This record gives sequence, structure tokens and C-alpha cells, in this order.
Amino acid sequence: MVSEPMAADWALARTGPDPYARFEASGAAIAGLWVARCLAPSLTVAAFLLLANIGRVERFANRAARGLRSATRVHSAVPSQAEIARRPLATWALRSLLLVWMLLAVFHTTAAARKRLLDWPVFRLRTGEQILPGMSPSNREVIRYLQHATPEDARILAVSDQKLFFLSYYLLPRTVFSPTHPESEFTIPQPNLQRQLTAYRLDDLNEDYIQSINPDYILEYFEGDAYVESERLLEDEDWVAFLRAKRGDPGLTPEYVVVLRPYRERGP
Amino acid sequence: MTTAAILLLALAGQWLLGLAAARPLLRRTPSSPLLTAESSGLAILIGVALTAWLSFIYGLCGGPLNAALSWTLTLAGFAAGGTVIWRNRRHLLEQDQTPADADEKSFIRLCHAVLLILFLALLAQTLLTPQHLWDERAIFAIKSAVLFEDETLRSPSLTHSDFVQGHPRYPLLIPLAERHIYGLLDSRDDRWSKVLFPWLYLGLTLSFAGVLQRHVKKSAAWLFTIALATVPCLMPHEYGFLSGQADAPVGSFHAVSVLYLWSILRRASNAPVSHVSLGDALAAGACAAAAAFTKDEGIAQIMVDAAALAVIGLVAFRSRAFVILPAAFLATIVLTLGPWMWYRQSLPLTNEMNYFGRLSPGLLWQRRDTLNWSVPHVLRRLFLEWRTLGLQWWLMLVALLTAPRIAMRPPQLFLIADVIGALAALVVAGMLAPAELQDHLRGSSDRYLMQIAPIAVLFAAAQWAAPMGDSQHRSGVVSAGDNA
Repeated sequence: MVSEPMAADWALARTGPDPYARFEASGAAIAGLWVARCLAPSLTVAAFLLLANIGRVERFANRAARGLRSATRVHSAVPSQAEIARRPLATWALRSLLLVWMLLAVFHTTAAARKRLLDWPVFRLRTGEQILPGMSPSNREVIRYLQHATPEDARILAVSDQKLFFLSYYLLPRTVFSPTHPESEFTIPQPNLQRQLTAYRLDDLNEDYIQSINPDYILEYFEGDAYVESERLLEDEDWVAFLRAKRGDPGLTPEYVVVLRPYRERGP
Repeated sequence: MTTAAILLLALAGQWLLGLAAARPLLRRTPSSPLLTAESSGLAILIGVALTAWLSFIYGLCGGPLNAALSWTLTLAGFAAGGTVIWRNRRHLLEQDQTPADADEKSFIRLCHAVLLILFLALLAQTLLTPQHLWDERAIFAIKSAVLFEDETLRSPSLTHSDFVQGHPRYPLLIPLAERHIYGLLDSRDDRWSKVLFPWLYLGLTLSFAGVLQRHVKKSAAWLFTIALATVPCLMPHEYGFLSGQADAPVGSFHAVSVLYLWSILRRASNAPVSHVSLGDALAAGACAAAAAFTKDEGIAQIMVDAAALAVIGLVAFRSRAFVILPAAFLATIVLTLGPWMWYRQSLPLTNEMNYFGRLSPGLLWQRRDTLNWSVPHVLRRLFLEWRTLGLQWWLMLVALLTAPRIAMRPPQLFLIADVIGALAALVVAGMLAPAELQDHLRGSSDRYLMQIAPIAVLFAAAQWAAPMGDSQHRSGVVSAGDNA
């Protein structure tokens, strides 16, 4: 009987030194083991039933195969509808396309099953809020910090050089407002900040605008070189303490600027 | 276990609600069977759309979008659908009237089994992944989450121009349908709301098989249904029915709408025009409205479909029916979509592409150079990226080349016009969009082409499949030179 550690060891022996790849491989191997454990009894029962009814199964398979051949045979009907001439070239084209089509479907299904196995170690049956999938590690850290530092009903006004859709989604029921700079309104972001978005800084916003939002907190969050001021990296002590605790590095200096403050404490 | 039971109740309630709404459209004779592939598939699509639409209308009238609404809609579905089933209990299932052909029946049974396995595989895969793509969260899931949290359509967040969300004016079918699931579960886990997407996949495939087998031999109809069910960009591609993005749903609604319009033209080609069913036009209109209530591409598709139906119908048949039918199609859309089009005017325009607002001859002329990039790009996507997106466009091309005379018949011309119109809309969108052309089209053209992929499969099926009820055809497919 194959155990979970055996499956994990088997996968790790075939994986490089990258820690994430090793985590993914061992998790996928365990998931694969469980899929096999679930499918094996079903397949055994199915195989038994097939063997017990082999005559009927064979007849069904033969009929279905003839049905398939018939369904894929292209004919040319003439006006009388009585004379039907076969069209071997069209039949050949249809069958060839369908054969490649089905091979493609098998290939994609296999690839999708493999992807699900590789996703399993991260996704499992956790909610999106638990794993915060498909975003940068920095987005993830900022979301966790804001969840830690603000109450659930907080209104947060953010200025940032990123599109903050994921923050807005995962921070609900907190509401995140962020004015979009006109130059960035229709700019499509690229992964890993390959494209710098033009952004408002806090000083660009006038008091009337801020009051119209009526925020409980104001967040400044910048990652791009054009907006990160090194002297501000340690400005928010709570953020720095949170990040140091999270990464287990008491001397850490964050690589990007996060400054969160209650609106009423904002200086002149 | 409770979650699974509630999800089953949710789907059953929507299906029964859809069945009650679809029945009047599909009833051909007093003894028409209730539960056919067509009625079951259409009931799924209409059920999902109607649940969202009724929630929208209720919200528009100031009603709270809460758990009570979700349960009321579900129970109303059971009541309405249950009544329809009870009243039609003598004609529940279709009695196969076609000549007995064991080979064909066995093949169709095999297709049923394959489709069931595909559906279950999709369902399992969908529920193994929480929402994790960009658009599904930034545009749709965020709206459903806010609607669930605020319990009102006029949420202060969704109506604020600086609340962080993608496309504030995007249609609300998906967000409202997802909110319905959250309302029943009384919790917000975006993994469970994704159950809607495999459900729509089943609706699309059953409707496709059902309508197609009204016109062509059943075995061929099911063969092409399996082909549709295995188009990679629809399933199991990450951005297809596996995700919470709106492209596959809008593709489903649009495809079934086109299917009914095609059915009208096909029927008119083979029988007196007076035999054409108004129910088909209404079903097409309901599905087209659902497409436009799912994603804005649906609006462009309505314009293309209505124009193609009216022009081809009038030219080919010279009958007043082809004034009435497009009018019925459009009237259904206007009536059902009108409240949404009115309401969306009050929503912010932040980061909206606003294509129709930008549309002007001057801008089109000014940006004509974009065609040098966008046309080859689209052709590349259609024909060179078949390993990723599927062979459907090659299938359509080969079907056209091997049966050019059939392709010149009104129903087929309609499908060709539909595809050409949709492709034209894509390159025109590239000309109008304020975003950088290559970024914009590269990131969206594959999903847009996914929306019209079912039309390619329908075209091939209609080119090659033998007509229904032609007992001379012992095989399933027929080709050029027919009935000319």
C-alpha cells in the first residue's frame, strides 16, 4: 500500500531544489494518490461489470462504432433525395478533423487534470480569502496588513501606482476608494511592475475631495521606482513591525512604501 | 454536505423557473414532450438569466437583495416548474418517433455518457479552484460580493466613481446570479458561486443538441454537440467555463440565440414561412438579452444578428414574416434589457471603454492603420493558435469549402454574416478603444473568439449533417449539391 509520505518522497526525488517546486510536487503527488485511491474502487467495479457483461458491451461498442461511422459519412444529396452519392473527400476531411479534435481534447483534458493536481497543494478546499490566489506577494502582504490593522467596516482611501482591484475584493466589507490618474485609466498593468502606472500622490488630492470620500483611513502604497521614496520605507512603524514579524526578520527594511494612518491623525 | 444540498436546490430552483418560462416558447403541439434536450438546456440558460433579471428588477424597485429574496426565487421556481411538470405529466419525456436504428441509438447513448462525464469533470475542476483570474474578480465577483454585503442594487460603493472595481457599468447578470448563490448559502465563498458556469455549459450543449436535432439527424446532432463540448477554449481552458469570467456565459447565451435564429431560417427554407415559430424568435430574443445582460459584447452581437436576420430573411423569402420575426426578436430584447440600459446610465464611467460613445467616422478613419496589426492578429488567432484554442475555425472553413452551395443558403449565409459581423466588431473595437491596441486585443481576442466558437461548430454541423426525417439518408451527414 502506497502511503502519503512515500508518494511525497517519490515526487521530491524527481524535483529540483526550488522550495516552491518541491512544495508543489509533494502536494500534487499526495493529491494524485488520493485521486487514485478514490478512482481505483470505482474502476474496479466498472471493470468487473464490463467483464460480467462483456457480450452486451461488445455489441454496444460495435453498434456505437457503426453509428459513429454513419454519423461521420458525408453524402451528397441530389434534388430527388433518392440518389445519394458518397463524398469520400469530404468524409475524409471531416473524420480527420474530428480525429485531431478528439486527440486535442484528450491532450487538454490531461493537461487540465495535471494543472488541478499542481494547484491542489495551494488551493485545497480553502476559500479565496484564505489563500489570496493569483496576485503578487506584496499585494498579499498589504491585504493581510490592512485586515490586521483596520476594522471590518473601515472606509479606506488609497493612493497607489497599482490597480487595487484585489485589495478591494479581498478587503470587503471594508471599502477601498482610489482616484484613478487619467494617464493610467486605460493602461493595462503588466506582471511584476513591468509597466509603471502614473499615480496620484497624497499631496495631489485636495481636502475637499478627501472629505467627500469621508475615509476612516488613508493608505499610501507605492511599489514602482518612480514613486518609492527610500526615506519613507520605515515611516509606518506598525506596517514595518507587521512585515518583520510575518517574514521573521527583525531587521527587515520593506522594499516598498506602505503608510496607513487614520484620517483624523493626518498631519497638515 | 449542507453546502452541496443548497447548491443542488439552487440549481434545481433555477432550472424549474427556467422550465416554466421556456415551456410556452417551445410548446409545438398539445402533446409536445416537456423534458427534451432542448427544453432542459434552454431551461438552464433562461433559469439563470431570469433569476438574475428578477433580482435586478426587485432591486431596482428598492427591494433588498438578501437571503429572503434568494429563497423566494428558489421556492417560486419549484412552484412554477412543479406546476408545469404536473400539468404535463402525461407528456414528460420524448417518445422517439424516428425509425429504429440500433447503431444510431447506441451512438447517441454513448454521446450522452460522454457529455455527462465532461460535465462532471468540468464541475469537479471548477469546484477545485476558487476564483483566481483578473477579470472574474476585478469586474464580476467584486460586484457580487458588494451586492451580497450591501444587500441593495443601489450600493453606495458600486455607484461611486472611485470605489475600486473594474468596469462599473458592466452588466450584472453574473454578479446577481452569484449573489443569489451567496444569499442561499448565507456566506460568500467564491468557489461555490462558480457552480453556475458548468451549469451554463450543460445548458449550452443540451440546447445545441436539442435545436440541432430538430433539423438534422440525431446522431449527427449529438456528434457535433460532443465536438462543441470539447472545444478547448470553452472547456477545459482556464478562461472558459472553468472560470468565473463572463466570456463563456455570454458565448452560451449568444450561441443559443443564434441557434434559434438559424432554426427560423432553416425552417423557412424547408416549409412555408407561415410555419416558422414565433416562439423561436422570442427564445432567441430572451437569450440575446441575457447575453447583453452578461457582457457588453452582447449588444454588438444583437445588432449583427438582427441586421443579418432581417436582410437575409427579407431578401431570401420576401415575406412579411421577416419583418415580424426580427421585430419580435428585438421587442423581447428591448423589453427585458430596457430597465438595465436605463439603470446603467446612473453608474460611473471610470475605466469604461465606452465604445459606442467614441464611435465616429472621423475616429475610425484616423485609426485605420490599426487594421494592419489587428486583422493579421485575428487571423492568426483563428487559424494558427488551434492547438490552444481549438480547431473550430478550420472546421468551419473546410465545411464551407467542401459544400459551397449549401453555404449559399439563407440559414448558412446568416451564420457566415454573424461570424463576419462579430469579427468586424472586434477589429472596430480595437480601433475605438482608448487602451493601447496590442495590449487590448492580445488580452481579449482569444476570449472574444471563444464567445463565437459555437457558431463555427453549428455552421459545420448544418453544412454536413443530413436533414432530419430524411429516411433516404442512412448516414448522418450530407454535403454540397443537395436540394439545389
